[in-house]
Amino acid sequence: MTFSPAHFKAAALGAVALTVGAAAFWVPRVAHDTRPRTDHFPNVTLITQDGKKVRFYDDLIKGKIVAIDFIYSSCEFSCPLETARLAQVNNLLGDRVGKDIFLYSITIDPDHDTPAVLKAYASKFHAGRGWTFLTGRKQDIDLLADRLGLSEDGSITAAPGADTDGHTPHLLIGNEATGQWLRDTATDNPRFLAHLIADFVDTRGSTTFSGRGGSGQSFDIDSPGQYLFAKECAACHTVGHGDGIGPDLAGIDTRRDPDWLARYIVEPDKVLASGDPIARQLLARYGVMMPNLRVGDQDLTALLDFLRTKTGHGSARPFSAKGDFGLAADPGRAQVVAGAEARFTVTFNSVEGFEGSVRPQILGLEAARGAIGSWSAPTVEVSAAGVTKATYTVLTLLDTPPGDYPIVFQAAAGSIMHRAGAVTLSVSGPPKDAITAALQPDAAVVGVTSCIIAGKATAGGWVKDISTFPDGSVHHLSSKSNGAGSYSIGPFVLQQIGLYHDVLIDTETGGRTALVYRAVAGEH
Amino acid sequence: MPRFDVLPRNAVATLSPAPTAESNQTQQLLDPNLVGGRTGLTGPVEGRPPGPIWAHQLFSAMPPQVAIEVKTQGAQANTSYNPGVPRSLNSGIDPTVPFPAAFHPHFPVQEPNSAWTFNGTFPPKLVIARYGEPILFRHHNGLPTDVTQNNGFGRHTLSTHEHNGHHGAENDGFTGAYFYPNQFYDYHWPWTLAGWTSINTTASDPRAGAPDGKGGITKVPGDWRETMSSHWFHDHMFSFTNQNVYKGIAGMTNIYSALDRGNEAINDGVNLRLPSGTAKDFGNLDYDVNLVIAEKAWDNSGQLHMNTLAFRGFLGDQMTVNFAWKPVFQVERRKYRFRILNASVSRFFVLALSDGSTMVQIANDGNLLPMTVPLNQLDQLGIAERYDIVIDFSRFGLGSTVDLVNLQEQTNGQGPGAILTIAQALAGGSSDPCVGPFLRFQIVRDPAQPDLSICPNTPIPLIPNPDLSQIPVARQRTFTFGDNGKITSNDPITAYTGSGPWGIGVNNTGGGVSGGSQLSADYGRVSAAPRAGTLEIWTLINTNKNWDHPIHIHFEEGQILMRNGSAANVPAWEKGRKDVYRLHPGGSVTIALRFRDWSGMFMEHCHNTMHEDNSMLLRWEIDDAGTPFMRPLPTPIVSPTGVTFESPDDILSGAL
Repeated sequence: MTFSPAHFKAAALGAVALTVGAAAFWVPRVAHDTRPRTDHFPNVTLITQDGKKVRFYDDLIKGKIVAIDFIYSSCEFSCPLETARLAQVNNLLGDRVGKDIFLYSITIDPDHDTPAVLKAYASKFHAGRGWTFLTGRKQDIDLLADRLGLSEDGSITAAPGADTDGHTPHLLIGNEATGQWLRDTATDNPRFLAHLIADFVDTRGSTTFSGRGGSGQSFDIDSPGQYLFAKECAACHTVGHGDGIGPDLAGIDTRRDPDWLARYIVEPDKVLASGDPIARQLLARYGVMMPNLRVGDQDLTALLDFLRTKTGHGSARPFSAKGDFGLAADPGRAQVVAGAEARFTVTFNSVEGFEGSVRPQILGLEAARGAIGSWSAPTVEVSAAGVTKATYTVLTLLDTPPGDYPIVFQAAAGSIMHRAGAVTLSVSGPPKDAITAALQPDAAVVGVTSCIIAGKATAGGWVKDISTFPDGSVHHLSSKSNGAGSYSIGPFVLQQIGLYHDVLIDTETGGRTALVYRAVAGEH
Repeated sequence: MPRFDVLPRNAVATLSPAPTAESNQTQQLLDPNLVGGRTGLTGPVEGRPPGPIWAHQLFSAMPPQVAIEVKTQGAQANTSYNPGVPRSLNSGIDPTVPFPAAFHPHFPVQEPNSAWTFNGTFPPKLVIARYGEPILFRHHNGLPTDVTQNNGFGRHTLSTHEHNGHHGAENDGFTGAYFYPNQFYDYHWPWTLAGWTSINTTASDPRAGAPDGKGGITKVPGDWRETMSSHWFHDHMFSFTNQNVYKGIAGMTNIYSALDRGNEAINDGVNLRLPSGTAKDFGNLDYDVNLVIAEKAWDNSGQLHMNTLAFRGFLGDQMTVNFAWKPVFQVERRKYRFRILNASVSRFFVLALSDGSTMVQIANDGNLLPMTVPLNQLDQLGIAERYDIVIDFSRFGLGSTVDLVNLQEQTNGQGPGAILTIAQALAGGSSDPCVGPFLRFQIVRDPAQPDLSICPNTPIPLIPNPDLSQIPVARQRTFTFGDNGKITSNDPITAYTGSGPWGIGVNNTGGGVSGGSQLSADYGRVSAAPRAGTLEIWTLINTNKNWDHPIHIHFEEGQILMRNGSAANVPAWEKGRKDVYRLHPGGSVTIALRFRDWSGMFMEHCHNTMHEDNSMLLRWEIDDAGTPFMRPLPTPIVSPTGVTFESPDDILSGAL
């Protein structure tokens, strides 16, 4: 049987004789999926946040333009951003929502997300009329998620650290009447999402959300952090324009300890889970979880640079869109006696005209147990002319084990990251100038107990206490040793409940020890 | 089985209006169907975004020399079928008889809204191109103005991606730069050799060249080791690519060069004399056959059908080759080259001959290999991948037949299943109707002329890879695909954490040809985007245990350096250059890529079903010191009345 037009017959539609010639292999199976499209969407019963029962196909999507996502109210990942973003889309679409455009967010956690819970969740995001939050039976919702292409097989997302909660942060947008369906990420630019919903699937050639960006010319970006902020933060936060769904971030870099802020941006769920009081305060006040968006190191650097610039603090300059930088660390090997300090100098140079703020970091110090360090400044201004230096000071403890510790200095600017060649911190045994310290009494009630830190130092001179409060702020106390070996710092009354950590007691001659103590609430 | 239909190559003067560097914004009245029934509205005749940013780069330095004009429209009979070969080499098909838009003589003719293709006709279309001879591809959109007139699948807006052309991205078929019915879009394909701005810039190496039509070579600048041979071009419409490609909007391109000339007689020390023919100076198709393999499904009226709601991946149940079901191809007892393309939505194929005899693989993704690889079974062919193979039919007797068999079972849109043996597949050992023989070769005669082609069943060298050893690696990156493509590795040096890298299309089998999780660029990464003229090493890791990801990187071919951490794991047929990389479950691929030559939008973003970002575009610019750097561009927002631009800064209004 040759495929030859000579054998062609203009077959009538409908009746098709599928007998084939002698050289056929077998009678083919006909694709039999000819169900009307409407059968694809299950007509399951769901319950709205107002407690009303609705049928999915008949009541929610038939003949409508819809945007659907799946969320759950206790989600620690992208749902809060997703919902905040959809709230922006809701605003943009105005009063078409509820008329011919309908937004639906369906919970994948119906056991916990009752209509009342969903109603409270919706109100935190200022969800408008025409945006319905839905719950129902778990098996119905699972079926729906599967049919809408919005579920995720947990066995597939086996990557460590991946969302394994079984839903995707995607938005299904469709025009049921014309059968046009597409999916986009639910966290996309809200104007673009509005364009997809109002113009693209509407197919009436409307241009409600045409671009406003002018002639298509390329433009300068002030900083990569600005774009990241726009993409991941602006749905909930402003800088200097008041609270949104989340707090106004003006001045955030001075209000919060930088390390706490960095941790909170990167893994807010873990910070909250550890009982951090600030995180708990924030949740109580705003009612919405700060999502863990898996912000990477480089994104974090860019965001912090942006926030610092935007709030007018620090000397962070706009990020340079061109060139590169390098860094080198010196000395290659720093010798230090346990309990003493070592200093490294990191020299930065600009390549091809790079200018901007670079955030320096260190790797490997945690192996030297107890040692902590600090940079001379949180960011380094690299200029195209000349070199810039930063100092990293390592403070070891008396009980930091002797040994050679490889240290790597790295620095990030936006998403460029470079490392200097490894250097070594070489720690030798503690000096005979030892120091002991203890909190007396050893249990303190906040606001009540008058405490001192007392101990012995083998040498005279100033003795300092550097304490990190539970809220991340740091305070210093000091006292002079009486030269006979004993010293005491204080008296003082602890002001905050919690764990006081990294309390360093050190002497001028380099002896150092560390203390950790806890303050509790008590009855007056 | 019919051969491809060769598109006419016309003089540029035949185009009216004449092509312009910038988009032609002459206004025309709009069909009310496009604008919700409103009358009196106008829109531009050309759908390309306006302005200098979207102008054809180097249009005056590389003016088009050949025009190819097509109109995508609904299925109809072909009254101008040009197979490029005599009837005897096309299984006796008489091209003067109108060729129906039907998958088989006994199938009903496809209604105009069931299948859409270039010029609306079967068989699929072939572009003949030569290096150094820029083509202006004028693509008219002749689809219904009513978007619902699609028989249940497909969208009437189009964007054409030439895969994998080394040209400026305004001509790359950016998925968000689509055009409407009654518009056209001019694509400028210059056909330059990669490295043309930095290597062999004086065009003094005859191996870097094209056939001159007179037995000689026209030299071109660039690295001859980057010569490409077999491409395809297809629709790339935002969110509807898989539907439109399935519906028929796909064709192939044969690129002819001094090395791969399409003439097996010319023996000038450069021409590799691969199976082709001798009658013409170049581009002989006699023994050089394009095969597009895709499986389809039909409704109970025999009309092409697709379930657009099969979000996990759509699988048809009947194999077709060149839009023909149960095809039979007559061959002579000599060597043939087959340029095989997988244009299905979600399927992988594993091909073998029914008698298990040798096929010689000569190219991967259209790039001739450093050494040919004789095989009894081809590696998995993923969506959009191309393998060029040579089969020597002289070992068969006259009147015998041998079949091409698919051994790859697949019942799940998300990834392939088991690979059967030839015996199992022939015995009907799978319930998957696409497993088994699907193309029959009939050996019908001895060749009239001697077979002058060179391609023995033992390995021979073809085109060596570019030597990268002297080029410093500017950057190494690691991308981990799992969980919808989010980056999960936290290594700050080699991994990009956050929202993912830019420019990589993940051809998730759930989304079809170019679907799946697109990892888009992020403004935050502009400064770390590849710099012009540099070499980077990218490691792509698939942590999913169940998904097989084909990943397509536009614009440049890469070399696979390692699989799963070792060079020894790279099979012989992957030692050349590729542009689609398959990440097997739990596997990794390390590739070397260069970024060069073109300014303007570098790579495109935003695919299909799920994308991370609203199509961020980047453009190379040169600063005052002559240093290239990248800048972001606003996104085009397309409508029938014209293209406007969306600045991502808008998202911040009210926030700062």
